[in-house]
Amino acid sequence: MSDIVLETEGLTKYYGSTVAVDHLDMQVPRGCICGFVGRNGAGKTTAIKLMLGLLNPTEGSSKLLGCDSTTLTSTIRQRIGYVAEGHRLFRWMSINELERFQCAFFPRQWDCKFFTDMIEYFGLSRRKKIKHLSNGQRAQVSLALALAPNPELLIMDDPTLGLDAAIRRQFLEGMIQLIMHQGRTVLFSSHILGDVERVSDRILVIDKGVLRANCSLEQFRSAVKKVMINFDDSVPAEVDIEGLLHCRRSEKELEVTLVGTNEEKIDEWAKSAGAAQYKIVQMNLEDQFIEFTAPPGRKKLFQWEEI
Amino acid sequence: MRFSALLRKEFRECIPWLLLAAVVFFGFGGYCLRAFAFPRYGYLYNPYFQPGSLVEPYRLTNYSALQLPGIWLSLTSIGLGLILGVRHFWIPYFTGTWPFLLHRSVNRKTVLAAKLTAAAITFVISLGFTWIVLYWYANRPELFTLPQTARIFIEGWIFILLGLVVYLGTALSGLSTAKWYTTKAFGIAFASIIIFMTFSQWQLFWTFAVIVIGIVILLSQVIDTFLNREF
Amino acid sequence: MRLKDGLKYIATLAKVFTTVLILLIALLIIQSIIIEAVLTFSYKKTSPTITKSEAELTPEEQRLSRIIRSEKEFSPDGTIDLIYQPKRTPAREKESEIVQVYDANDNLLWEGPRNKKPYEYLSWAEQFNTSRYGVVFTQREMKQLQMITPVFSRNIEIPVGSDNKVKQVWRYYTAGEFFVGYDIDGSKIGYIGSSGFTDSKTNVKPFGDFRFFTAWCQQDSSSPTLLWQTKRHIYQIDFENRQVEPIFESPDTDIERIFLHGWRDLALSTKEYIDREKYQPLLYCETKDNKHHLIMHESKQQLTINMPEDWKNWVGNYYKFTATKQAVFMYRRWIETSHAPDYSKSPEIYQKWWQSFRSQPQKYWVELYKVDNHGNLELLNRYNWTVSGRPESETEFRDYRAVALRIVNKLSPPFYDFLVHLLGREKFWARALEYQNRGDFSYSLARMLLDIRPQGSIFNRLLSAVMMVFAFWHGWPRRTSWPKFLFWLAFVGIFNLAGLLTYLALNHTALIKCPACGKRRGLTQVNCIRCGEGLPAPERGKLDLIFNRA
Repeated sequence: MSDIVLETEGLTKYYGSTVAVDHLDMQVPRGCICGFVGRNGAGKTTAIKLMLGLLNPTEGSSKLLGCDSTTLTSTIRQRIGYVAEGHRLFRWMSINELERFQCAFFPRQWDCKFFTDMIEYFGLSRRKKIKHLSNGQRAQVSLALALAPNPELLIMDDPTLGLDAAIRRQFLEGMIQLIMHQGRTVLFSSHILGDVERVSDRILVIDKGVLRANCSLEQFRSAVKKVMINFDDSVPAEVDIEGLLHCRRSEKELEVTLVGTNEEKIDEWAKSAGAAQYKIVQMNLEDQFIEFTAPPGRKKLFQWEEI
Repeated sequence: MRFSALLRKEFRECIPWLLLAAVVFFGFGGYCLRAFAFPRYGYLYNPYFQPGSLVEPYRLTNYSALQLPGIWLSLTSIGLGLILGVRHFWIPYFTGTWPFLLHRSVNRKTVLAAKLTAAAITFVISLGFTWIVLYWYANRPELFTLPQTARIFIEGWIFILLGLVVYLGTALSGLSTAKWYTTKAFGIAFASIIIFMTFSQWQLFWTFAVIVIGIVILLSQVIDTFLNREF
Repeated sequence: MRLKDGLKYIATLAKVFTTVLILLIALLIIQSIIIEAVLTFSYKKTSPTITKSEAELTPEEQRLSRIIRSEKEFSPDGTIDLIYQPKRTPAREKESEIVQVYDANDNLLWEGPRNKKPYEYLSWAEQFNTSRYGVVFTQREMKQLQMITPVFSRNIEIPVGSDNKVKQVWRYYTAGEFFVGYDIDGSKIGYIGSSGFTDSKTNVKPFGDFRFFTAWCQQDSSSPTLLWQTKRHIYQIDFENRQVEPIFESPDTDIERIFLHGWRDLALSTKEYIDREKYQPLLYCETKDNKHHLIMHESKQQLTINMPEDWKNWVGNYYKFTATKQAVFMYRRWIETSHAPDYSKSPEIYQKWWQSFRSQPQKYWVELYKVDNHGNLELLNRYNWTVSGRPESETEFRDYRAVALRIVNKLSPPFYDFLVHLLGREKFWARALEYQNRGDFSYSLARMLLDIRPQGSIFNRLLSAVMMVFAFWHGWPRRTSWPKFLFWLAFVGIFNLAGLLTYLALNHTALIKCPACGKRRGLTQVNCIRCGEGLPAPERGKLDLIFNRA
């Protein structure tokens, strides 16, 4: 069995003359939980739909479980679970009916007990129609439907969208427990970096259709740093530190965002620039993501000036 | 099993419209038919058939007792086609259920086949059976003097087929990625042309030919668009 | 070819066909609206023909005017009288109007109310008046009965009964071309076909391809009797007695028209009443080979008239027949002018001939012939008069409709011209005008196509060429294959504006700038059509964190 469950090669999608996904090259190894993050309109949903064969690429290819996305066979689809953005299900069906509908497509794989346990775990009534469920409850049903066939690969497009913190926590905990136990591969996109931080072991960052980061979460966390450097005299005109992403200055203070720069190099530069002191600012994943994907020339209020 | 699950799902979505169409056609059509349910040839209307007089030929022509049910049948069939087309191919856009449906472990052909089969079954049950019942009723000698011709029976099925044409035209419009002010409406427009041409025909053969050609043209486009379209 | 590829081709052709058809119809509708809207601004002012009042006419002019306006009637002995009505009233046939009777030498024989004139003239077999609603039932009306409409098709049903009560109904079965009879309780009686009544469907013979029928009630019955004409036969069907009488058969050619005289035994009160004491029931029919046949009902005699061949060369040939108890007569009217050119071949030449015809004096003739038992004609009497030519009136003519037509048909597809040439202009025209055989829709469509086609206009062809150039400019950076590209160019050329719109609707895609050659390129192909370079790839950021585990 191949180690790579999902790979794309030069995957490109144009809408008119606008490029939505631009030469996406990535690989997702088996057993990995990948967080797929990006700003609004970055191309996450487009990329996921391309991978699932719902869209046709302008160029490039994508393979899921070794099968080309444009010709996914029914056997391969049985091994892939998909939770679409917004958890859109057939509103007129009850949970029971949805289960019957879904399990018809997985005659050998469907785990009835698992589904029942999940529904009970979420405290849902099986007779209730989907249209009478809240967003959170629908998300739970959606997850249960996706997991009950025991898929090898689970792709979720913003599964916690619109859920409150408590339901999100419950959703993620349920997901973690079940996934970790059975070694599934998960690719999920999200705007909520806290959720990504909590469950993922790899992170994929896409910005304006271009893949900017594909690494382990630890690598990303350790690579992106923000350093505040204070000067007794004025701030140097040029900042030529290695790995510089952004730099903002005030009269005696310099705030730099660095990627892949170790502490020795920071220290070396600070000394050479005549800094009085410097401090590495603690950032959570969300802060790191915002800094990493911030466009150049982003304006801040008042005193800061971008170099 | 997968096809039957899809078919069950699509058919259940059609059920409310199936019942509505059957009730409308049977109710209104049947009511109109009852109005004709008396022996119509009780007497010769004297001024038109005087000995030694000319007889105006149009007085020798007669409508079938099913003429008013015929109007209900054609309207119901076209309306049902429109509604089913919207239900199957437009509503999933608004409810966002296309990705869920298309990610089932079946190919798109099966999904489409389930929709088309469900629509065909709906037409047969709601309108076809009802038409057979009304036609049988109109042939009861104690209520209607003359039996209905086989041609009328076939014409009724032509109206039901027209509903399928409208269904396919609506489906094609729904699946089209074009804007409304370009070619999105062409599916429905073409179905309208077929209806117009059907009602201009004299001969059953050409009527069927027009409908069959229309169905082939629309169906081929629906299949091709559905299989290759992006969702 | 795999099934999938086959479906793709069919679907593509279907898409092109659907799109171009709808656009052609939309274009046709817009063109028609423009033309008909402009019609409201068209006018034709003809200067009034200067006519003298009666008092101003010379005696010769008065005489000529009287002759032209007179009815020329023949007596059974062959003499001709001119019936002149001095004062015209809206209802010309009012029997009480004052008329003057003149002989061939302009002598006034009598004057008084029309219905009191002491002279008896021959009455003639007349063709059915097509303008009277509901009287005529032809092939066209039969087809309209069968038309598929929301109220279903209709049937011909002949009630048979007495004492104001219906006892049977005979329904015409269109597919089988025979009648099926039902009792009033719905039970089947039998069948009536060309060979008569039978109670078995297998024995019934069809009447044939229907063309015309007329119906009347005999003087002793209130059940209709039908005179039923098919393509080659004429039958009389008496439903009450279940009898079918073959009247006439034309084995080699189609029957065109029927004229009846005294055939239908109608009551005195009926306008078409003919005195059967004086006249024999007569049926006169013309066949497609321009032969004239007479059938006398009582004597069962059938005659084919031997018309001289050269009569065809004259204009305005008009024949009437009648059969008295003593003899059979023919009335002929004609104009001593050679035949008009064929309108369908060239309407323009025909118009010129017509203008010339009107402007020159024309000699009119009426003749009475006796028909012998072999169909030979013996001239009994003739009369002629000359009608002066009418000078061309001055006409102020503003036909904006024609102007609008000339403008809008520049946008029509050359395909229409091609279609008409392919089918043959004369054949197309003839078929278009076969009103009897065409439904309103196809008749109107054929007429519209003949009007709206570009008719070989150079400007239209130039416009097509310009559209082809535009399509070329649009399609060049977007082309995927040469056959497809050339197909669309040809398509735009053949279908003009509709073709260009179809091409744009089905082929318009976005363009981007190729990073290698800097020119515009389409996105339907991965590689640039000009330099072969792929789609522009993004620059890899130096600070991107790409660490593929594999």
